[in-house]
Amino acid sequence: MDVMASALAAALSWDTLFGTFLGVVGGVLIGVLPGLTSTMAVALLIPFTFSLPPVVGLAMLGGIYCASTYGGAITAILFNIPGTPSAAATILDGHPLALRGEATRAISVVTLGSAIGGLFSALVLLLLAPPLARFALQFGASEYFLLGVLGVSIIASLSEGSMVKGLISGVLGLIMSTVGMHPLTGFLRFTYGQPFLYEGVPLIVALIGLFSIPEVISLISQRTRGDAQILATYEGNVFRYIRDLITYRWTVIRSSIIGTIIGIIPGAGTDIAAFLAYNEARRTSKEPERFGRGAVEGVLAPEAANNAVTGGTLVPLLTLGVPGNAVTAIFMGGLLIHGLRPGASLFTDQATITYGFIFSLFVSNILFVPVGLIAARFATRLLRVPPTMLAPTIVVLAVFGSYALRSSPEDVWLMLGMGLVGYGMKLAGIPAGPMVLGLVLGGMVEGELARALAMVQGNVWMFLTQLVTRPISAVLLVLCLLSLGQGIARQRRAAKPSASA
Amino acid sequence: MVMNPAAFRDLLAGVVVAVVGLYLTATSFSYPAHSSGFPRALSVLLTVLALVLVVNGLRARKAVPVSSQDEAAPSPDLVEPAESVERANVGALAFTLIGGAVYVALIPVLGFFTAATVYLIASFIILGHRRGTTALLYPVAFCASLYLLFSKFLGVPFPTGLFL
Repeated sequence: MDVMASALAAALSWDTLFGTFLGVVGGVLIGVLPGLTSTMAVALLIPFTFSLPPVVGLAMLGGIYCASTYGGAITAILFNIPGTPSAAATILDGHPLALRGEATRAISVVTLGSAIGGLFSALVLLLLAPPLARFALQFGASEYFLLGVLGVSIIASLSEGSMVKGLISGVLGLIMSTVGMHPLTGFLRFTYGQPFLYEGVPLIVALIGLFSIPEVISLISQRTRGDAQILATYEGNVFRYIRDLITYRWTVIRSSIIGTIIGIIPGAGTDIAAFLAYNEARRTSKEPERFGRGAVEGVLAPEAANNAVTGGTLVPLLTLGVPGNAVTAIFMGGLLIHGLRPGASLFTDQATITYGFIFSLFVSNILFVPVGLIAARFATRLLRVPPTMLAPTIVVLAVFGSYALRSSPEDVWLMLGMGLVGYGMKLAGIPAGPMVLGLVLGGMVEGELARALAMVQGNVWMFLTQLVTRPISAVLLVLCLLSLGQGIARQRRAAKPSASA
Repeated sequence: MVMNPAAFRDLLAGVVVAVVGLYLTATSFSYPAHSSGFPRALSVLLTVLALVLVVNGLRARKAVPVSSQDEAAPSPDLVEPAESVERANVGALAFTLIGGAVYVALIPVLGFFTAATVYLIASFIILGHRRGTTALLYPVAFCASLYLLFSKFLGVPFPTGLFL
């Protein structure tokens, strides 16, 4: 109880509140401006949090995460372009609502719905994470090995595009994680005599390059926002539309649950949750034909779901060290920089910081309501910022961030190199998410595999038997196979309409 | 025969990744057994996946390209996120990488913040923002704020050259 009290005090201290507020403002702006994603924002801003106290730094990142996930809806509704990928489903009914002159209603409903979704998942995180962390104490080397494999396989099978490409990305990430010293023997691999690689590819630097440089190139390609049709502006009183939330309360609740569960599954992202919630809302609606023509549930469902993902993704991260998505993979980097290791110790030795961070998520989800509504009023002005001004600014921030980590110029060159790799992957249609998870989880996968084999004196047959006979391992193995099977099934379904003429 | 662009993209990507996979597999043989198993297994897997991609590309080369999703009301079936296909923009790529490289190379010469200011000014001018307020005022203001925040407030040491 003392711990909770001091954590709450930490979350509500002026420093933390200010950090949260800055994060929320930054997050809403990033969400509103198309071309800037949550992943990029968190990657670029982590270096800013290095010298801040852990709770303040984490609260700021949490604010960016929650607010940017919501912010994309504003542009989706007002301008018919998703500000972030998570708002892709919001356009379907948001655009028609704006055309009908109901932009204010759409934005109000979406803002409140997102807040409810986010608060719900933060509550689940608060209640579920501690017992799950204690349960994870039973995990041994084989379990952690399979957990790593599961994380990569899920994100590979669920990511946009073909599963083969998702797996290629994941395997590339795993290979990148082998650069540097072997986790047990210390032998140097793939370093080519470069000391800055001895400790491995620095995660934050790689992620900054991977997620910001390709976006910079896209922004420069856009040059003008000629394609943005300014459909409407936001003006009005949000509270007039609370009645909508009560009318569609089951949609909000169901979408929040869907989003939280999808978030908890390592690898599944916000856009999947958004589309799933949208489809579910349509399926269970008494008037499904209204969807796509300006149904309020059609914007409420995806937005409540995508914000509910935020808390969910933090569950496997904080308890098992397995990021729920690319953003939380970067969070992991942030945690490690502040000396926090995911697992049971976060809820025991580091409990004040951890619970302080979780409480700050509640604050973030409330704060983005007024901030978002103000931003919506100025959205037209915000969107006039030319992409070709944003692009070099992002490069400067990326260079700053990469340098600030270890004061190493080589890290900056590495960041640019990863940017080139990221752009190549984008052109090839290879998703970046699985690579991130591979990079983050690879050390754990190899290390735990080596440990598990060492415990059976290198007897591979015995190791494989253990995987199947230990109950938790067996469940994880089945889940791995299921996720790969599901990916193959999805591939087959997608391949049907594009069969050759 | 005109190849389906998506298939060509897959074919090319598959070949490049397969070459990378083969190179990494070969490199792994120069490491002792206890440290090479995992990277070698992954490199072999990578090569196999790349070859699958090549085969997929070859199979689909005669397919008619699928048109982009209808923007009208969603189909009765499940609505899924549309796959985005990026077209290479060599100009933007060159500008970003060469510009970025020049900027980074100038850091030890001019100092971190001065190089950033020069880079921003030059970028804005090249990209068409030539009004004084935009091209000069914003870069100076932005870099000055970053200097105050990082160097003074957070105390992160940055390389200096001729200037800051």
